[in-house]
Amino acid sequence: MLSVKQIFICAVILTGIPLFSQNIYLKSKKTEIISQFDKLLAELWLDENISPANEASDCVMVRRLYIDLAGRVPTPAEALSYIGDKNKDKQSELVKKLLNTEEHAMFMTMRYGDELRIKSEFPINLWPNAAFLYTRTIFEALKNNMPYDKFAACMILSDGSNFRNGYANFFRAVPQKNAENAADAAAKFLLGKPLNELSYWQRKKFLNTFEGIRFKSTREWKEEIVYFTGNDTRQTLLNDIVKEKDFSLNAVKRTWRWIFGSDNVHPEITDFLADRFRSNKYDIRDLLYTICTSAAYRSGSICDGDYQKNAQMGAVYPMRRLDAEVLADSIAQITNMPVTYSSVIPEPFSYYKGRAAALPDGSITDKFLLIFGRPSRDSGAADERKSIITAEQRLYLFNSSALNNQLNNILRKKIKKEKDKLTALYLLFYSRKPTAAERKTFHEMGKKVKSWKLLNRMPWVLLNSGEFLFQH
Amino acid sequence: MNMFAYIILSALCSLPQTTEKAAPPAKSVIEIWVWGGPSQLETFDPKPNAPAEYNNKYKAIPTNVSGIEISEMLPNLAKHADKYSIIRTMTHRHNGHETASYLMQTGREPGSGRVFPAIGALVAFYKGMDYKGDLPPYVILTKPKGRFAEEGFLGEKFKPLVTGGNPNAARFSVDGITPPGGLSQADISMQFEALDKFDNFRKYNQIPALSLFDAAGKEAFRKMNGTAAKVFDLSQESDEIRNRYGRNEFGQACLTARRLVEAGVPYITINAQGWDSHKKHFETMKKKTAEMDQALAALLEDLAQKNLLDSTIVWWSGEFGRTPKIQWEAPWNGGRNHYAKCFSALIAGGGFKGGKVIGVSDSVAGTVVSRPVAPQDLLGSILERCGIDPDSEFPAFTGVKEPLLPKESKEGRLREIYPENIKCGGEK
Repeated sequence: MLSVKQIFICAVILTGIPLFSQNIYLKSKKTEIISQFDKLLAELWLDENISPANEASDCVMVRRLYIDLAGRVPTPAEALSYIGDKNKDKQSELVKKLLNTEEHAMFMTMRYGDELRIKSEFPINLWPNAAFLYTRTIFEALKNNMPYDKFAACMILSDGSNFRNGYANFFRAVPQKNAENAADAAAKFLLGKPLNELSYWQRKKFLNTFEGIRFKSTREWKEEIVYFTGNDTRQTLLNDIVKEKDFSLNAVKRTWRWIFGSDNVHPEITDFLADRFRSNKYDIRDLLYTICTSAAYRSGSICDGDYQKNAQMGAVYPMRRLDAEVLADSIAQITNMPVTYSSVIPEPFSYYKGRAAALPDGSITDKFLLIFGRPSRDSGAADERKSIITAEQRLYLFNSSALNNQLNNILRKKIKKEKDKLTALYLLFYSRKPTAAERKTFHEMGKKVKSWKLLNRMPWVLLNSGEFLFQH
Repeated sequence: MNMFAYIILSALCSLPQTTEKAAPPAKSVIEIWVWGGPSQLETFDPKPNAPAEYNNKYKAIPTNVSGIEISEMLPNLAKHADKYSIIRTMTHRHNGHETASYLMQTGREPGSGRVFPAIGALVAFYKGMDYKGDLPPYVILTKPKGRFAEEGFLGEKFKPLVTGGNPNAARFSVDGITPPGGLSQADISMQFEALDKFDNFRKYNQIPALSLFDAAGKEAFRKMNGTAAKVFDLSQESDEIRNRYGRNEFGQACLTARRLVEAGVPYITINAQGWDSHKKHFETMKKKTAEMDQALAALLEDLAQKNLLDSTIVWWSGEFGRTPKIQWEAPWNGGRNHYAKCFSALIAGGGFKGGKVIGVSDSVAGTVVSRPVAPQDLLGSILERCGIDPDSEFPAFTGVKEPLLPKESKEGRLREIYPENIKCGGEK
């Protein structure tokens, strides 16, 4: 009997396809068109004469899903279990599984926290325990998959103590405590536009609604009560806004940006998703499920033609650097060396050991997160997050002693007992095994410089490579 | 002087014209940030005649400028009083570290809803336009000061490089500039060669994000192997010089600062921590002032000898000073608390006159008697001496339509120690 491997080799010889010509990042076929949404995409591609990328391979897909939905690379076990899974629905099943984890709720809490400016002291003088409560409140809502319209209502209609009702911090985490700032925060969250970009009448409506907002302090240090005087018309405003297309569209664009790194996308795509979002009762998880199982998401990140345009049309998954928190958490996981983050604002200092994505307060940070462009949460604007890669960042990755200490732990402890250390390293960093060509390169170079020496530096090599540093 | 008065004056003085040129602006600034709040009494505003519950019987010593006395804890600095001026009447109203630091770093009252850039980021921004060095224009030795003392809304690009590491270690390892310890040059070459071979994504260079990645990598590699790393190699200094600054972290940080000035870096902060002496104040001060005295004196002397002092501003201050009356009761057992009402700062070089004292404090260094100096007056003077107008607006891209610093106080910037204009006599 011939083994599978032998059959494969025979096939290669017979068909004349050279061994390993296949790209490990792409499947050999175009992305499959499955859902109604996929059909819309396929029509768009046809109309615009776009040749979409081939479908992403399994090792790319498992890494991509964990990064986008759990905020970290998969562990070797998680990667292998997906790659070895023969079930043809494994992609959508993994999406479903990840969407229901607390880890996912935590990661999405971070995304909302950026937009809602959850940080203590500078520049908005929020006290740390209010920031913590606000984070916790949003986490609970997302964990329970609260419908988005209700989630928005919790914010807009909130009042009371900002130490007891987390949502009340929606009006507290603004530069100045007045009607204009409250209206601006509401406009940004509900419609994705600052107050001054709304039409005259809409601006007036927002300003009138929040005219009665007031704040008072209590006998507890830094606690504040948010309350409204006069006729409270927030519910009326909310009812009107939820009916507007921009309300759903804003939620869709925000989600698209989180997944694809930019909301510069063809309007037919976002319109379709906004309609679906509305008819599915503003189910946030369903929206993410639709996006992450779509042909746009299943596409590879390598394609011919105009890359920017393909990205706009959902015909390629755009490559971009891993976000600061994702990078930090992935390195901590790979090396088994968690990092302690701290805030020196205000006294007493806060210390937090664990996931960067789970930090409950934007003021708790470290040098790594600062260098890699974690948003400062000063304005809440999307462009506060920096996703480009700079020379300074690469210098840090080349040379940091702190990082080097973490990396050293891999060979010394984490995979000390593994026999095939090269495979173990590839699985940790790339969520795949090395190819035969890569093994060959390793052996050839190892012969020249001694393989143990080369192996010692392999964690550094893999860390500094594009395949690790980029979401692809 | 307003324009009208100027015209009349110049008409009246139709003397043989000596044209006056303003002294050239300073090129670099070294900020010694005495984080925690140093006691004014044990440094630059001693009160030997005050009761013991204020001065703990510490004495004042004369300096090389007659009439100026400083604390006996600073014998080395006493030999160089001609090089610096003392401000004894810094004053503001914030007694919390972070609010006071924000004010002393930005000149702004906290709570405006915006994070203003610290003076270092401002100088780096304006001076950085002409600066072409491999190091960022704003370097902090060695630990970060926190976000309230950084780039604020100027953005990412003006974030300081925080070195980390220990300049007093056998090898001063600077995160991101010099490779981590324990690696030979051969290891380093090998790992870069391996990166070339193993990074499969190199062949997708036409993808926009990856082409940026590649360019950033080349720039990083060039910087790593350029002059930048050598600046931090203190073994290039003689033992005599290294010892003169003091073989401790602060001393060697001061020496590094001088090397950074030589490399053209516009703004350098030495974040001198550990001055928050609530308890055991005098034990702390003895240790801290000894290191500080030696290193700062060496720095001023060294800069002067290398002809760098005229173009380099050195300023020394904490976010505030300390309570004049000593707290002997438990749990302080001889401590001093935060005190912003009246405290001391030091300024030298960059054209500022030395050998002067600005302001008079009361008999216990507790209140300002005359010539108060607000934070924006001090910071404004530094900016002005750097050739940056503190009253000009923030660059347009920030969208902030405000002057770089709030309006100076009634008593104003430190014009009494600005350099005299240089006379370029006789040319008519």
